Amino acid sequence: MTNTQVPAITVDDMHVRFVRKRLFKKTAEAHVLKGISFTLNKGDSLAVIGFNGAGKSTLLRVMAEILAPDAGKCLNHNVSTALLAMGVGMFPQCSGRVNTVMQLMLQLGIGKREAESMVDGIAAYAELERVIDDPLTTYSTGMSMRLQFAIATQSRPDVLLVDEILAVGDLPFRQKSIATMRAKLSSGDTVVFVSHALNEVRELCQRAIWLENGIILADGAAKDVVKEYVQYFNILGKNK
Amino acid sequence: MQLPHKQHLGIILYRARITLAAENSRTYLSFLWWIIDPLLELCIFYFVFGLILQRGGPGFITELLTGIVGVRLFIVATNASPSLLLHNRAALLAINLPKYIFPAVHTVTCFFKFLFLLAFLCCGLLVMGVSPQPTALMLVPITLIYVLFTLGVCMLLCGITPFVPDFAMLYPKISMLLYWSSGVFFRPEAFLPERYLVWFYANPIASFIAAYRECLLHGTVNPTRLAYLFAISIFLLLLGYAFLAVCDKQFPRLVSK
Repeated sequence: MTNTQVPAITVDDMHVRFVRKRLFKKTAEAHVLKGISFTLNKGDSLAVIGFNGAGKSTLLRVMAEILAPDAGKCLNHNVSTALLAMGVGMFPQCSGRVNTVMQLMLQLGIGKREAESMVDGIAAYAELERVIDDPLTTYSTGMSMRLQFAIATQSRPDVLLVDEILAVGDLPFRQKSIATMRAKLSSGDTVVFVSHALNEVRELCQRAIWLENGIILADGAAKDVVKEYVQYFNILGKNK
Repeated sequence: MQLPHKQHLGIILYRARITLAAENSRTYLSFLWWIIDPLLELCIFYFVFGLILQRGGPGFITELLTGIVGVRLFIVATNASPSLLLHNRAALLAINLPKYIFPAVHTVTCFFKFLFLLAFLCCGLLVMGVSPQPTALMLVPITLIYVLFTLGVCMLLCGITPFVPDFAMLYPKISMLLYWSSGVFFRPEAFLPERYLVWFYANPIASFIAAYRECLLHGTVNPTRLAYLFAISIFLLLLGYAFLAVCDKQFPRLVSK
């Protein structure tokens, strides 16, 4: 797509462990990432695939500088990153408008006035113009998800990290949200996309990493990695 | 992406505002609970200590009311602090936020309620016949120091608990000890020999209550006390901020276990 030679984030022999100590129980340790290495270049659309518990979300959190690795490096080459998050700390008793402003301030780091000026556009995208001033408690689950998706997709950092958010809401809105995510993935922006939707991964991403049990099993062209993943687990039929 | 510093204050104030709105919408009597709750406390203490134990005397109710209001900000703010980061787990795991924002939002929320209560206290004292004192102006600096102190303690409490989760079980007892030993419903001068008073007032909560009583009821100000409270507040504030900043990347890991 764009220049693939300029690194955005370099992950080098990175380990992440979670340790839990208790007085009357054996110390529990989960070695979530076991010495993984790769480089994300500017303009890459990188998919991270793998089963639940493979370490995909932890990898995104380290890349978003939310978690620090225990060993090895996750080197950020002076790029801004944002983890696309839905419904982080919403206040159900408050209106959709108030929650939208709060979320925009938190996720985009913008001021209140700027956030307020964006609310009507977000409400229109989420098709919630008529209820945006009502409390979230009056929203259905689907309406709430639509609003959260619309807020989350406002983020435009140098590197966008997307954790299993592709489609939400009813059928018409699902198509709209898939179109939005497709536009993000094919825009030439740098995107890291964790997903189980293998068809979209194959279609939209240049590159994929197959992560399993904290280890990278394959790293290469998305089509090849997905093919390998599907062959190995023979899940394509189930996915369809 | 770390939030730009210039946005921190805006986020704290806006989040505090909607936290208050959300809290008020949960009950029928809404913000009236900010006053009803301490008033009920006043009635219970008056019933137990004033009527049953006959420990009252002239000015007991005004001293008691000032004590209950004075301790309120610290007790309400710190009781919820140990679990603040755990309650904000989702945000911690999704957004690269400086962690002091959570105790700051909580303290500002409690501070706003406290200001309301303080205004109510002043009106209540006037109604009970306490003549207004010029030293009442000292309410402003005392309250500002009190907020800094409370914020410092809240930052430390919410930072300690993810490392030692058992602290959340222990703190309510510490809070209870502080409440009962800070002179909320008694004047230590009536019980303690003078040589022990300095130790009693080394407890900042007792000193804050004494400072409120002095400026509102007795028309005096103790500069040494205020200097001590200011120094300890700044120390705790810096310590709490540094603790949260140094351990910033460890908290998401600790709350995600």
